[in-house]
Amino acid sequence: MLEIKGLNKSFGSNLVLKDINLDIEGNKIYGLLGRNGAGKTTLLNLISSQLIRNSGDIKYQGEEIFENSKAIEDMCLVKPLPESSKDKKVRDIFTMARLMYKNWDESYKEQLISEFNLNTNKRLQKLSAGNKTIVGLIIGLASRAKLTIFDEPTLGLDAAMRYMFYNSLLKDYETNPRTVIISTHLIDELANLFEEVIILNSNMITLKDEVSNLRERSYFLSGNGDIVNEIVKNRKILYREELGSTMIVGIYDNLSENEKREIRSRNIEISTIPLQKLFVFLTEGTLGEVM
Amino acid sequence: MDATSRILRFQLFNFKKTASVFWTILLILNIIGYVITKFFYSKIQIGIFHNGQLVSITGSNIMPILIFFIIYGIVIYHENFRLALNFGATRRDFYKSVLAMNLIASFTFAVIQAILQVIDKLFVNKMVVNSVISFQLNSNPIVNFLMIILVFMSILLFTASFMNIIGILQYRYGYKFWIGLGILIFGSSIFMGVRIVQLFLRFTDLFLYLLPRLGVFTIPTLAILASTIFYVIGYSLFRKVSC
Amino acid sequence: MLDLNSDKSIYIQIAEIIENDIILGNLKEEEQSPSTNEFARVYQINPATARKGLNILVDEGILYKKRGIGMFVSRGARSEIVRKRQASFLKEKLPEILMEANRLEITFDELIQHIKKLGGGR
Repeated sequence: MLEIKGLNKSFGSNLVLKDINLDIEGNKIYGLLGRNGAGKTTLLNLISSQLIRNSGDIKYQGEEIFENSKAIEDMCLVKPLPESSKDKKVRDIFTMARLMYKNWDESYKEQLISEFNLNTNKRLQKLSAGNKTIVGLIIGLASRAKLTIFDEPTLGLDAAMRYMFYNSLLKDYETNPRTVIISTHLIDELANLFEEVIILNSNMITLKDEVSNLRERSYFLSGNGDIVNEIVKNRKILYREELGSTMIVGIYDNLSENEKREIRSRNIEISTIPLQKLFVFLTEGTLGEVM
Repeated sequence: MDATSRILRFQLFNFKKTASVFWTILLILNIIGYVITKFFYSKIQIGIFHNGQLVSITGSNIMPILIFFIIYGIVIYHENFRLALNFGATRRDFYKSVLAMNLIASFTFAVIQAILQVIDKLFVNKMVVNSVISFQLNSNPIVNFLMIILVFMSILLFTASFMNIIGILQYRYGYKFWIGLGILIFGSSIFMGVRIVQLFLRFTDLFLYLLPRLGVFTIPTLAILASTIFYVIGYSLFRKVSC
Repeated sequence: MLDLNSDKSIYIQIAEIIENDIILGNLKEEEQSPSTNEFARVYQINPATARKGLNILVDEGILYKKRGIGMFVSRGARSEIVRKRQASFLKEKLPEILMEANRLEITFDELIQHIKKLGGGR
């Protein structure tokens, strides 16, 4: 659905995104992960044509997206509403969204407003941080845009609100599938919603894979230092720690059943790396390309 | 419904609100002006006077209208474009909608004001013996009426097209624009002093003098020509603007 | 219940949940299993993950698809699951126990004696 090739973006002399290549397929929920300042928001703004790139191609269904209204009208990027709109009433903002999005579902929006208990008569700036976010989330959901992007959708939301959002998203995804990209650094709760994750690190995409593959390719090996070192030679190492004479190493690699048996027979413990930890490892430091 | 018309409806939604508020206030003020003039003429004078004679009450609407267009030209980029871009507008479609809005705005405002001028003339003629200066562009009252609309509309369009450029510059450069403008104003007032105000007043006098004397189509033609040039300049500045 | 923080992949857990229901008799042969969407909604996971879990069972012949309707429990599913788990126990769990016993220096005979005392097996 979306093809990105050789995308580069700098702000002045500051290189934010370098040689980004990405293929986004339709009707999947993607997670975009990365540390603060990794360039997630920049990438999403470039995809929705709100920022202008320095070089590279972004094609939607084969056609270049820049100034292409057919492409852009299928997209919705949910991000904090601009400062200049803070005096507008919430219901006016919804009206404006309704006028702009071609697939807008007004009754669905009304349903969400009552579910989230939003007072639409207030002005935007009078809302709490959480409610401001919710306005954006409702716009994103009700837009029914074929490509809906949520940039940090959980800001300011308490746990109950967050789960309401996940629920609404999954429920709607079930009956009205669309392509969703969610950028976050709150991986714990969202990891289970994602089908694939894209990891942005050091201005580049260092990994793109199905979440289930990630789980099955990451291991902690702990035991005798020499043996562990021997086993992890030539494998992708994410983490290394010594506890007394025990060495703990995190690797990202495939291990066959035979290999696992062999490792265990040498008294090395194998355990999987929790997703949260795995993402921390993958989003920090200079790992270069893991995939 | 395609993208351009969606953005236009978006613009109209915003415009309708502001324009209605604007005209409601203005009409109330005009009515108050009439009431005061009718009952308190000796004590309070409201309206435009020339050589001690009342010329027009609603004529003074022109200043607020110009100010409206000045502010609207900036707001349309500062607020509307930001939101429209957020909601998926292309720059080209947005610019088309700005042009359409400017035309709609200048036309409706011109029509309303022209109607008010006609009402005004009747009223003033009743109040005072004869209004000394009348906006007579043509002997036929209907043609005259249409001419007035044309002149007003082209002046407003000219203002709108100029403010369009200012609005784009303000959007692109933000606070730097205002600093630059401030420096320009202060700088020129230091160098030229009061002469700027004098220049401006003389310009308006010249305009009012020329208006009935020039072929009546000169002003609209020049204004429309200038507007077109301004819109082209505006688009070249706008095409590559980021969010 | 689904343990979202577990080491075990979620889709594997989903497959096991269904298998457990079949073994316990909650899900009988020819009965319809919960759909991917139902799993997704209840456990708040991506439907594709649930689908992956169900597809494993289809591949193993424990479930079969009725087009346009959903997934159903195959004939003989229960015995198949029991057989599968028996194999896994014997090929993986048991060797681990033996290795651990060895590490703890429990002799083979001691182990057999203990097993007899516990009256293991049917």
